[in-house]
Amino acid sequence: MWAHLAVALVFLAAGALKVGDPGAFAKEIANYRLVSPFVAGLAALYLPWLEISLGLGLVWPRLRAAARLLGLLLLGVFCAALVSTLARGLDIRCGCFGGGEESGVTAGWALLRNLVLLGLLAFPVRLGRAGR
Amino acid sequence: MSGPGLARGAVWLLLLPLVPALAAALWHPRRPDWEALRQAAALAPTAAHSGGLRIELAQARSVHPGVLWVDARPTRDFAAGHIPGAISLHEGAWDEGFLRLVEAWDGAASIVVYCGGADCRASEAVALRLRRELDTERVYALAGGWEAWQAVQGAAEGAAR
Repeated sequence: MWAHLAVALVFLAAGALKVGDPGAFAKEIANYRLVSPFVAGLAALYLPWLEISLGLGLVWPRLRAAARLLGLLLLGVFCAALVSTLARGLDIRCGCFGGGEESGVTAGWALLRNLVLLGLLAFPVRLGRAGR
Repeated sequence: MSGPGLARGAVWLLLLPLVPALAAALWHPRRPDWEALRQAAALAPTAAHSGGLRIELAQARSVHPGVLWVDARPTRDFAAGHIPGAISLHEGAWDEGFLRLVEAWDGAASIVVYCGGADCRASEAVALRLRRELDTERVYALAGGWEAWQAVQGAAEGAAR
């Protein structure tokens, strides 16, 4: 339960910090050079609200399982994007928590952070299965 | 939660954010500038444009009438040490760095961009973008990067001792 709460808070913070400036977030996404500018713009408008939605879902018992599943998928996508920047030697900001912050956070550290969040989300799933 | 319940919950969680996202697309004062994003993508480097971009350190140091060095490494690496007089400019903080560069560049000097070493690609990306934004071909990426500079400096200091 504490793991859900921790991840929910991270999702809520990440979403809340980005909804204020979707234009800047779109540039951060475009810097990854994985999607077209149009898709980067759409993602910048949608992703912060999706993170807030998942954050709220994780603390609402009826939606927790669905939020956990989508959270795992979303974090998996983020990890894949960060791995691709490392593989291509791109020197860009993560953009995970909006502009202006964490300018010193490398893709490697952001990846590690996402993997920890993935672990926190996945761990209760395994515990539940083991308990059955 | 049952399978159908899980699916229904996931659909709700995916659909609900569409409402504020749509509102943001229409009315947010800082909504994405589609034209600026399109132009930025057009300026992104491609392999087809990388000819004649690399320059060796010895060649860079002999360029007339001089070189303006641009450090494309992360800011903390720049703070830890850089080529004297270099400007910090990388994709993660382009606008601030570009402003510093424009202020420092006299329009005559060649610009040589470097990153960490032989394997990094940030210097090429920054050099290509500068070629387009400054509309000049006299922007190069230093072969060997910061490591090459340090190796030469180390050898020179060793010889002076």
